[in-house]
Amino acid sequence: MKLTLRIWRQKSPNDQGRLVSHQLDDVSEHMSFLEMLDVLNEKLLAEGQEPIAFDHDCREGICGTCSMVINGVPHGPERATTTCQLHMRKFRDGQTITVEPFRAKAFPVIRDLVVDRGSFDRVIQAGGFISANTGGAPDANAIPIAKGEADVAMDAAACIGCGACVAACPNASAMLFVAAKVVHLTHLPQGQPERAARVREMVRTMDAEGFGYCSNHFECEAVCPKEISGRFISELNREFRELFWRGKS
Amino acid sequence: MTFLASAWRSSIGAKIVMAVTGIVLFLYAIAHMLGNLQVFIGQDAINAYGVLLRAFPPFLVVARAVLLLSVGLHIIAAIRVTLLNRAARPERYAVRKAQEASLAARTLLVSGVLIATYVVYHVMHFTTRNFATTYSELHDSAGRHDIYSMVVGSFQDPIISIAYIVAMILVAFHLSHGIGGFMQTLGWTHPRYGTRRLGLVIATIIAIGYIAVPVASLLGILELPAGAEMAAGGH
Amino acid sequence: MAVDTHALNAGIPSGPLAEKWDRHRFEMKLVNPANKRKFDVIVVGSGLAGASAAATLAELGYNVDCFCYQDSARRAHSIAAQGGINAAKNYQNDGDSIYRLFYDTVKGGDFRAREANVYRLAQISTQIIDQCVAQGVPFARDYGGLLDNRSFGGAQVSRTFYARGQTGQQLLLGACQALARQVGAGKVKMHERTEMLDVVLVDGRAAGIVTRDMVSGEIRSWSANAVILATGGYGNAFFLSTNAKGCNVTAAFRAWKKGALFANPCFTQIHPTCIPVSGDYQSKLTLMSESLRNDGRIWVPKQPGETRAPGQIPEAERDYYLERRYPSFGNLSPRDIASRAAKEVCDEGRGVGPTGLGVYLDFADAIQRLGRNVIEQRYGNLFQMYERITGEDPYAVPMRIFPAVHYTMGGTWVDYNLMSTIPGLFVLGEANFSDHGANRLGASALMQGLADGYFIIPYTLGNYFASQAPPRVGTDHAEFRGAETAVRERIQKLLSVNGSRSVDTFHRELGLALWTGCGMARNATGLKQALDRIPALRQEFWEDVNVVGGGEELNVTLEKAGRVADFLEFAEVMCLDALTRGESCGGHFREEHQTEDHEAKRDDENFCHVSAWEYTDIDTAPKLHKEPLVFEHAKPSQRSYK
Repeated sequence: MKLTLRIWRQKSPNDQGRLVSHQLDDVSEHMSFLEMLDVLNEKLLAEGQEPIAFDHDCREGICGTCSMVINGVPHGPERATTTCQLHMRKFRDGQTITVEPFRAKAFPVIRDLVVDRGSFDRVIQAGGFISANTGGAPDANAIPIAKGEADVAMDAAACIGCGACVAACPNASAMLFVAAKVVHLTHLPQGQPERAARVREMVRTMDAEGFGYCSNHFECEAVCPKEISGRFISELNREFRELFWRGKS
Repeated sequence: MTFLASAWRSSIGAKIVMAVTGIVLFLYAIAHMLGNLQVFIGQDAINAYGVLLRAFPPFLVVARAVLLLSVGLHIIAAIRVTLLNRAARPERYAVRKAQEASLAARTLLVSGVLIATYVVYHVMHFTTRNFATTYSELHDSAGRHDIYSMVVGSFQDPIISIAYIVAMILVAFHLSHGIGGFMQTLGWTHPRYGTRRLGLVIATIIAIGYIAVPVASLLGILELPAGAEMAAGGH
Repeated sequence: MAVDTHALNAGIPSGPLAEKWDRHRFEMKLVNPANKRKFDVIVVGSGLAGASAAATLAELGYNVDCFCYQDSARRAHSIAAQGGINAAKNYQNDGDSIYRLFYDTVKGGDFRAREANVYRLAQISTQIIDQCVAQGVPFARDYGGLLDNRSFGGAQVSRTFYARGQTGQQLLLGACQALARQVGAGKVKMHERTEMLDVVLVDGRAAGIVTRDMVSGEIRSWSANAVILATGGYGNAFFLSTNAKGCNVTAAFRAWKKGALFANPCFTQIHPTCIPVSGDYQSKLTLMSESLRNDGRIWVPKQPGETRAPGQIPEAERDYYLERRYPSFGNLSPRDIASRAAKEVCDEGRGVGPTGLGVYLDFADAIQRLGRNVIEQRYGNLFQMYERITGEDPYAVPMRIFPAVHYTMGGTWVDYNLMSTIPGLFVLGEANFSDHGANRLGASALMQGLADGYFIIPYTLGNYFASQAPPRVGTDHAEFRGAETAVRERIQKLLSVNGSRSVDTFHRELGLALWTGCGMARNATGLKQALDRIPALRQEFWEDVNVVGGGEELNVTLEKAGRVADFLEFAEVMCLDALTRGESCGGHFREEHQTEDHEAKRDDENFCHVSAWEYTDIDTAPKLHKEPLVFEHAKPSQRSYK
């Protein structure tokens, strides 16, 4: 395959970035998207140019590190797939592919396609946990949990924190990410004692980090590589509403 | 008040304001539509309904106040949310392809502004009657204000009708996202049934309900009572 | 090669096996709760071992600085573990016990692990599950709401707890959330995108580390009362492995150069069910759960050089070699055996696929017997993943699989307290030489990482502080200054070579040399060839590598170059260890040492020990220390799966 790649290059956070075109011949359809970028980088190196910086690590779709927008869609055209699992057979010979970093105020660009998603960590630090010091736990089977509830918790817990939801949202909102964690912990008995404080603090931090407001477009759900349901956002809203009625917001 | 203020300042709080005021306006849209549809029962029914609405002035005052407040808050919240959302993505994408969001969702602000503009015109047209003072002089045989003749007469003018129809399609368009939106925001969702299709269905019904009146007037299904002099127009 | 005959002292407590840990916990000294805040700890790595250690130590009151090269603690490669975590809960009432888990683990490791460590691991396993459930890990449950278990290779009981195919992810998120809570509370300071480039010793003790900020390029020293390395394994020495791209040996290797012994570097695990290499651009290998072998049949054509499509090859011309050679275990033979058998048939020219390095894993019989629906329910997500990567529909065409480097049992040598030979330097998780001996059983890596972090280091670190009162040295100490200078000079050296070859080409070449000489099967000739090639390759690297960009910016090439430079030295130790260990055991198969049926032949007479290597000098061979292994309970026997 022959491809024209338009890739965002930005040397540093304060640099004015721009799209740069590269030609790549001999792309195998069996390559993953990141392997295609590896090949391009080797070519750039051979020409004495600096390679394109992009985040990646496990390359098996679970660590959530890869973070790029391919032809206007975070993680590219294949549904329920991270960029590292996207293969070139999903593209056509001669196609032009535009690659940009995730864009959001809360995800500033560090270099090229690399962004800083520390804001996600700070949201979790605000309350996305169960306070259970090591050592004091009762027997694991002491509290039975209905299978249905455990399954919902697992559906939500499958989030890999990649940030595609934010990247896809027209408002750069982090509601799906926050909702996934809230729903995961709310559906477990162990999560009950901190239920109210968790929602309050996570939403407060989410707002302070500069994410936008959800306007129910469901773009997040459509691009989520783990298919986290947009319904969880509704559940987060419900939790927040309850806080308000109980005077805890 | 700090409690309320902090709720308002939070993103979800602002969305709840949007949702609650949206529901008020949505319910009003249904009530108004049901009122309008009485023209199909006849001149007497709708003119009597007009008298009924004004029979208890405090009701009218409160209703108008609630509506005005809702419109105001809905607009203020919309502006605030829009500004913050713009700020949340300072740099735009060079290429962006929507996957799921409907056209209605993506143009909510545009449809909202157009609807607000039309509503101002609509109120000036039929409520304060700034354009055609003759409307106020229309009375039926029982001496009531003749709403029937005013409505049917106006809608026999294709320009008024078409403007109205376009506006109502916009309202339905706005609602088709808004209904699912407020259900989602207030957490009224079902684990199995989505809210998005429901919004589209209800919005379509509302659109049909509204559009039926001008269409029937244009097609002559609704006719002016014999002898009623109609200084149609007023635009 | 120098051999130190002084046995290494692992400090195993005396007394009956089952009481050793309890007794040791009692005998260890404690730090008063009010005094804990006077101690600072550095934790390098934020995977299961690192995150659980950092969180737990902070909960106890120590001040923790935690470092990871990823952009968030949650992305450490523990996240990729699929199958599950073992624990001797005996919830299934099927005869499990701490002793049985202990025995299975020692036997699975082919009798090359310490009994006392493994027993402690089995004891702690039950507490881990309790702790994880309390944190909100959504383990699979049955309809009564109780925890579900599945069975796994090498065990006859169901003791594996799991969360769909994402057990590692859920356990890591649990640990990282505990860590996040401590970050929020100000007890842990997280340093993401920060790579450790050296350990600093003052008066023979670990006093801190030197790091490079991967965004700004800043070189900085950090001091503490103790340093914990939880930096994972070195499988990426092979270039192609199931490890994440960033996994590296640098932290452990730096510690080695500062005097920490490195144990059993040749013990690497090759996993049999990975997706084969598709081309020379391949950057990484993807593992598919071993559970596929429950219903899939593994075969190759009988004739070498077969060109027909798999569906065209008649039954009589197929060789179901695992079923043929191991009739009782068949396709479910252990990992090392299945991997080696695949290599043998490919060496005979009977491998399949475009590269000839692959074997069929065929579900046609299972689909016919059970129906497509059942297969879809059991393996749907795996089939989907396979199709995504290969573009082939495994319901219609047999899957192609090939073994890949997966886990490293070797690691920094540690005593019973998980302390290396450098006082104050502790090593946890896959980074230490661990409790898995020469072969790790499935679902045991997660168990060990969390045991080390949650339940061992909190006690043994306290003992170190209370009994030795290590001082905290300021980073202005000459040792820190010296280490920083050395790190800067090395970076400068990498940047100034200005050669013609990219870092990746060196890494690929090293990987191929290791895979050929020190892979699934090893022999003296191949190992010697590798030992000849590696130093030459290293020299070429330092003369001809091309590292573009500067040191004071985000520079991916520079990061890779530093890691590959370390692999180029470390690989030699791996091969040397493999050459020195003149026996076959677990994942280490020496072709000279096999039974008549081509099975691994252990030599308990001469090799019932841990080989721990000491760095001497770049130009002289490292020195070998031996820690004898004594088996009082699990008596060494020949593994048989016929």
